[in-house]
Amino acid sequence: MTGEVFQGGLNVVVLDVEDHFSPIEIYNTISRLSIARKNRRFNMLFLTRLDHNKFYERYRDILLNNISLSLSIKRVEVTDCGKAIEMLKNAVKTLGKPIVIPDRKCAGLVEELEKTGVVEVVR
Amino acid sequence: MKYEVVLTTDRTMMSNHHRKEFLGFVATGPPIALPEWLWLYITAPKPKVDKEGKPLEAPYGMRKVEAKLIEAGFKAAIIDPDHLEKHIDSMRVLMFGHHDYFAYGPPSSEWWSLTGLEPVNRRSFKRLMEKPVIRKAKEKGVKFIAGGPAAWQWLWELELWRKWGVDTIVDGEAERVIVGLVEKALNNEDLPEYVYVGPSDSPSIDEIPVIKAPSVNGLVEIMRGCPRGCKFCSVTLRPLRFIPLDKILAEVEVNLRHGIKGVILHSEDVLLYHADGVKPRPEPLIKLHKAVLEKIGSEGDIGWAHASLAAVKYAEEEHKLISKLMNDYILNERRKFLGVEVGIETGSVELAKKIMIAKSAPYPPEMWPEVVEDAFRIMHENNIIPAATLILGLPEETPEDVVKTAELLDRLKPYRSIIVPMFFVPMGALKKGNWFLKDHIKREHIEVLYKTLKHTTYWAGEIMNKYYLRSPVYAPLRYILRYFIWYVNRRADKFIKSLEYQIKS
Repeated sequence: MTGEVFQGGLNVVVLDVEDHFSPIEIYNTISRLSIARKNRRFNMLFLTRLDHNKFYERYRDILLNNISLSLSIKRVEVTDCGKAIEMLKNAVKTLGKPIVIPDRKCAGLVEELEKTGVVEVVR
Repeated sequence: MKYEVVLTTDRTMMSNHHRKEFLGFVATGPPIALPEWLWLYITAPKPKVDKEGKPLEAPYGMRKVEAKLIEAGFKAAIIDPDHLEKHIDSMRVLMFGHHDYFAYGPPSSEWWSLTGLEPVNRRSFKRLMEKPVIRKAKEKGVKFIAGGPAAWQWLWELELWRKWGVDTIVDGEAERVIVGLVEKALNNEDLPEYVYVGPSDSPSIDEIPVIKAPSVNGLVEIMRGCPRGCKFCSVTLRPLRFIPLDKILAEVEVNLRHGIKGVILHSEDVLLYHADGVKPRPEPLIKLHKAVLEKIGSEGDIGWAHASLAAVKYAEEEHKLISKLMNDYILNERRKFLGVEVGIETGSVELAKKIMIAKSAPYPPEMWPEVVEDAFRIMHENNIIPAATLILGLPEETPEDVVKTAELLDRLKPYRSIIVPMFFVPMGALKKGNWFLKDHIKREHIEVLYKTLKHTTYWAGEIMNKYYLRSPVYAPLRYILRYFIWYVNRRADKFIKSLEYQIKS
């Protein structure tokens, strides 16, 4: 589902459904993860309400800013958190135990998956 | 043969530019004073192709990707854009490479901003993507992957990205990721939309393949990465790797076997091949040139893609290396000069300190104007013809910085060279379709523009007649280009006045 490109990279699912994130927040989080896990490769799945144009307009500056991480980005449009969680459950089947970065609205729904150890949540 | 993976690009890239690399840069401008077909004939004639439509020569970066895919066992080939129809039935992945897809890179964006006219390379790429064969490929489910040095430009053309159905954009060195991506595409697996290859995924020397077929004008890579850390350049993020001599020679042989007798040594700084930091060393450079020149013989042309001015000065002043390379190895009855791209960027010490503090190394940044002038003199005396760039309009630039650049240009007058000013163009300004320059240009910029234009048109005549296009076979090209230079010179004063008027109003 993520179109995983970087072997041995960190699989990260971002729930950006309610547009609570600023791109810099996402970048800071993956930078922290990169340092903590000593891994500079990320296969990222964005479950988002943003369409192609709005999504890339939003994240463009980070991608153009000569970053030192490797990123593989897949965007899937979802209408709400419920749909996002449904897709996340599907994604888990192929991704192993992904790291999830949920926005505030979806965070509650991810908790159940976190408790069962299916995903790891980073806030 | 049936190819499941086809690589292609538009005509401005798929050409040998009459074997004159610099003419390729002319395709970055709009067709001024000439019809577009003639402009394309001058800058990007069609290459020879075989019966399958495979070009004799193709852009080097695409050759690397092709080689990587062939080594991984795929049936992959670069196909000329006029011959894609032959492969429509077998093609399952179509890949695009480009130096400047949408003319947002330098110097395209500058010509665009100065004239308000869309550059030829952008027009040509858009025409390619609108071709019925490309549309047909998309309709039948062929996966589109685009990459190359201009991959980032798709982030500014989101509508076209979606409209044309490009599945994946690959930004960065592709060797480590491209095989996996093509495998996914062929297996109909999910593809990512955007892949950014960071420096930690730069391929090792062993992962960089030897090209399988000739590169445009015999270009071969001798190193990747650059240690100077200039703020405006992304190459500097990549680790420095020297390509071993046996690999370089193997690529020269590939080109020779197919009748490409010339070599362009490609690097961000040719003189730093196996250097001691930023200090060129004579032994590896002499060994490299001796070996390459032995391969191509006295009839083959040689050029350097890029060199730094500091390395030119250091190599000559410490080791007499420039004169030794030129007189003992490169120059002969047939080879009368060596062409190279160099970066001046600014004449201001203050700005140099801000944006390119190590560009003058091993000399201190305070010496930058002197480094530039000394290097130009050394090159002039040794028949090296530089095509130099300047950057104007950087966000940190002050009017005093621009005045310093104008003063440096006066000091460079006696030295045979082409100098091209490039504007730092805020992305999006061009896309709005406005002629944005009047909002950004300052009086000092006009002075620099005028000085570079006069400098370049003054030296262009001699360079064309005595060096670059001296063979009788280039007589028609010489004639057209002479007309073009005359036309530009004639229009220059009027144009500069109109710019001044724009500033006042």
